[in-house]
Amino acid sequence: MKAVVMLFAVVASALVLAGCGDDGSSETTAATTATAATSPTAPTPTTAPTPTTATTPAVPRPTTIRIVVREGRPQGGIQRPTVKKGTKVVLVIRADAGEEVHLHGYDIGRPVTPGTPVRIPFTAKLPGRFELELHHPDALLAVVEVRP
Amino acid sequence: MPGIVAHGIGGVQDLPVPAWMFYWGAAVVLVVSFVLLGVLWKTPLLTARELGRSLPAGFSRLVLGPIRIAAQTLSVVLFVLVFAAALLGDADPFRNLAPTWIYVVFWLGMPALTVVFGYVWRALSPWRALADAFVWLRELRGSEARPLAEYPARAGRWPGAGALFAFVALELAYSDPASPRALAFAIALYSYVALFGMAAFGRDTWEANGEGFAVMYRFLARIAPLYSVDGRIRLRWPLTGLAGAERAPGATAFVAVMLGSVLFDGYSRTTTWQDLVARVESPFVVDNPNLGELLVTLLSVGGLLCGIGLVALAYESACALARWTVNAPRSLTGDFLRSLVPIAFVYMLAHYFTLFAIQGQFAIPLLSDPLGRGWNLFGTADVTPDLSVVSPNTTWYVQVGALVAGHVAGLAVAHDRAITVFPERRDALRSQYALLALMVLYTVGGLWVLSRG
Repeated sequence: MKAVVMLFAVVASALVLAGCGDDGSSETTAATTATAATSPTAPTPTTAPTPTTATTPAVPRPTTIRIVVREGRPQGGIQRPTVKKGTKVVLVIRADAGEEVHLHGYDIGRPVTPGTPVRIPFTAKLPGRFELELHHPDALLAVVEVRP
Repeated sequence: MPGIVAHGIGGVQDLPVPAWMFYWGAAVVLVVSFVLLGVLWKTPLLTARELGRSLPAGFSRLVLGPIRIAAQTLSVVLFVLVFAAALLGDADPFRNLAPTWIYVVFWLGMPALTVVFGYVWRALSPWRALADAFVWLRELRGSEARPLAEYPARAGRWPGAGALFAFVALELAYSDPASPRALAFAIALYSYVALFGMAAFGRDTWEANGEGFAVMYRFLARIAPLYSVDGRIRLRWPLTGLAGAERAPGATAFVAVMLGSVLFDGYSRTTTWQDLVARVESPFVVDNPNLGELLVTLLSVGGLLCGIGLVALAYESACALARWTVNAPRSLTGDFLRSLVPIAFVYMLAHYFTLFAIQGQFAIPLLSDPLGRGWNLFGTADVTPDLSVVSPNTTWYVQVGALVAGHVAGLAVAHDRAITVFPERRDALRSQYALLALMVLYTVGGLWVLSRG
């Protein structure tokens, strides 16, 4: 009886370990390719290609994420755009209130002038999730997800 | 500062654990659990090894004497520095040492230090150091320092649970947790209660029951391979200190605060919770931001209490079920409580290790300029932290690996306790079904929170 249980234990752990190794790697690649394929088009519906200003032909066009803030809150709720690591991103925020917009982690802050769009350009070098916030009044505008 | 700040301070948040890893983690947990049930030992192992063996007397004398006193002095100096920074330094949390020191270096570093080196809080607690100095001075002048009152036994660990809850509520529910001034107020209040409690009931009694951090580190130190007794440092197998029961009133509540707060912190970063908070707050953002923040704070306190309550309810139910299965004459909650300690630790490890690795680096420049005045005390003010030290892949493997390892440790401790309590092996095994289900629930629940977007 004891031997049977031990055998079961060994076999089960071996299976588990083997399974982890194999499927682990293959699924990671699958996931990565999936993100790679979708990410340029994936960001929220409000995304549109950048206006032609300041684009040099050789450089790939940056992903633009537009956020409109009305009465201190983001229109259409908190956005959750996803970009792939290494992408050039421009956040364009048009806010009718507030003193500053701030992207956490990358730690970029820009003063807000009501009515005029604020641009936050950055290269998504750091993977993770980063909150974009409006200060005074304080509100969470978007969570930018940078995938590896 | 914004309405939503998870875990007190920090800019980078972990990407959710991928779904396939969640399923694999959960599957491993289940298989490992059943395999363990079958092959585990038949006689108690932990109790016999709990004592361990003594380290050389000279080494013990050195560590518990001069090294301890040096550490206590350093801890008071640091305490004064952090309090001064909180009270007088720059109001920007990222230009002030206090928030990073308290929420990252202290709050996340101490548990890690404790599970490796044991109850080092004895030498690192600034409150204990102040109390020790007070007693030493009195004894030097020939008068005795005795506690003012007897600690009421039925209060148990409840004051400690209350203190820890107050801290996690400040960190996870208050709308502006990283505000240096709020922290200065919190430090002053906590210090008052800690020092008052030690003076009233005695230093060791209050550390065992009422000083929240001390109670927590005493639990966690049971994982550690080092401990000290009667002036000697002793070495034992890790986890063996978790043998035995925990019968003090409020002990379950205390462990539930440890587990439930981490669970809530994880949940508060999910889309569902963020959207809920935004919905509650947004009508007030422009016209009455203070009311909005108050509502969000109340909502978060509610969420925190729910998290703690769910953890406690699950544990109490599992113990009641186990008692019913084996017709045990008395409640089993005290018997199995320590098996949750490894799980509580890995919850913290899984949730906070990237925060510690990334935000912890900010302590280096901040130590040179603790008040944000442009100083450069140690020449490290210009150190730029490397924010990409841990890749998302490493993070995921550490998170899932830690939870599974904590699960196994918890099961082993509970199993050892069961065969100690129940002389009949059949009863011991049957009592474990409910606890196995509980731990699977905790681990898979913890994984689920990490994998939520």
